[in-house]
Amino acid sequence: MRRTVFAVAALAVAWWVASALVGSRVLPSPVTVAVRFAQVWSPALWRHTLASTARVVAALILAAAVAVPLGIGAGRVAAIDRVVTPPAYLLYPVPKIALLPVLLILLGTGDVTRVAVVFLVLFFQMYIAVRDGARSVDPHYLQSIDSLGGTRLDRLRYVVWPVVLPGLLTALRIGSGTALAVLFFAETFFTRYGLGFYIVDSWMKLAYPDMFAGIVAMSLLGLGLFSVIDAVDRRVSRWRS
Amino acid sequence: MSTRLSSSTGLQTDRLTVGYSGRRVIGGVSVDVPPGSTLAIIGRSGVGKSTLIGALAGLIEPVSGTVSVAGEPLTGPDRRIGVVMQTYGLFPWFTARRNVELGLGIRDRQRGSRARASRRETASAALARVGLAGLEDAYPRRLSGGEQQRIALARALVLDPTVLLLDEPFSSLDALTREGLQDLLRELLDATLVSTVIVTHSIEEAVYLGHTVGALCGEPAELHLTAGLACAASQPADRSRDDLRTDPAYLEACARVRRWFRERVDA
Repeated sequence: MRRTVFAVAALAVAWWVASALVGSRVLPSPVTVAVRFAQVWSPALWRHTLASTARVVAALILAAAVAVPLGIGAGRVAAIDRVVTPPAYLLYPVPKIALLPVLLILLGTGDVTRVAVVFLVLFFQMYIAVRDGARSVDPHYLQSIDSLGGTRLDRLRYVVWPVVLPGLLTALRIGSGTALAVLFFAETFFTRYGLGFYIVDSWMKLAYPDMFAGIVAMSLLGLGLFSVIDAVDRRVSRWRS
Repeated sequence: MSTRLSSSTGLQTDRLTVGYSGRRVIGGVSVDVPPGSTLAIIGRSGVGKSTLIGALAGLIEPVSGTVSVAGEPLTGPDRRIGVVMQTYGLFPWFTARRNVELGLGIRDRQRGSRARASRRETASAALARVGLAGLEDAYPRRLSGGEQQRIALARALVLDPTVLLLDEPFSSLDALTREGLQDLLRELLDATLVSTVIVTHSIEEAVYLGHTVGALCGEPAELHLTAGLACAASQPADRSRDDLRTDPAYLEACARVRRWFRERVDA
């Protein structure tokens, strides 16, 4: 905990020094931003943070709901792998943000499109991690569960799922950063809610302290996501410590 | 080769042949292991000992022949068969108690019972029986190899199996831990009527644990059984373990099995 406080304090000091060097009109000091954050949180910023959080959480749940069964299926059944993996490999390298215009045309300008683009970022990473995890299951464990009278469902629940989970959480950690970056961009079109909108809107108005308050909110949203993932990881990975 | 010990209601095989990709690994093994009896099988590395255990456990489908448990043909993995594997086969993501409880949970669910508390108690008692009281909440990787193998024994025996199969269970343990576990296994088996098959590299272990010793030799491997051997397992249970290990009759039996095994391998 002390080290965390020290790291955050070091970041604030670096920010403060940079602000002093380049001028507080362009880069407001952390104190100015903290004060502004407190001022704008209640009337406006919480609403934008909530909109962004809802979009990223919805995308995350959807991505997991599709990627986990598909990844386990592809990892364990060669026929599913042959059908799902080639299209996944074709689409995975395409920058998902490049698909935003296509999604806007196909799905409209509403939240569905913004959730869909974040879903795409998370889905491919999760799918590949889950598929590789499911492939790597040691057959001894499967024999063990079989010898205890386990069914196919028991194999999934007691063997495949625990093997797949650490990789899934790592993919989620890696994917979350990109997901937030893509969400930021997606929120700059056809919406008046979301941190992306708030940050760009503040920037256009030259309200730099407001803009930085939005950036801090986005950063805190990322911190919240990573903290939840880490907490889940600590709970399910106790056996590895 | 076909050899029968005696008619029994424990484990029987009839001309059991097992193979992979058209190659026969085990050829025509017929054997009976009566309840309360232990068959110890020795054989060189790669001869097919683990394959035989896999087929006896219903984990590998035979090319031909049958495996029967209590007179019923085996069609696949069966809860009446407990298996202790060479590589422990424990789930590292579950605690010792959860590992033991798992089979009970699957069994209870299939029977429509939901007595979770009683399962926990049964699992804890099983761990205490193998000397692991107080380690119920430990994860396998925090435990020694010997302790992990005790959990594997508890997990196999807690389901009161008709047949117990052990695939080189103590091969990766140091000498003293191995002897301790051999003693524990003998105590546990003496208290049950389970039909046991143990495969091992060690002639001394086979003679110490088996009522009968068999050798897997040839290609495809056939099972040859010794006859008239004074195995340690046939000695009264109240004899001291150290006495048994230094007993001239036991040492002579080891020497005889070694000669006999060498003749089979060289033949």
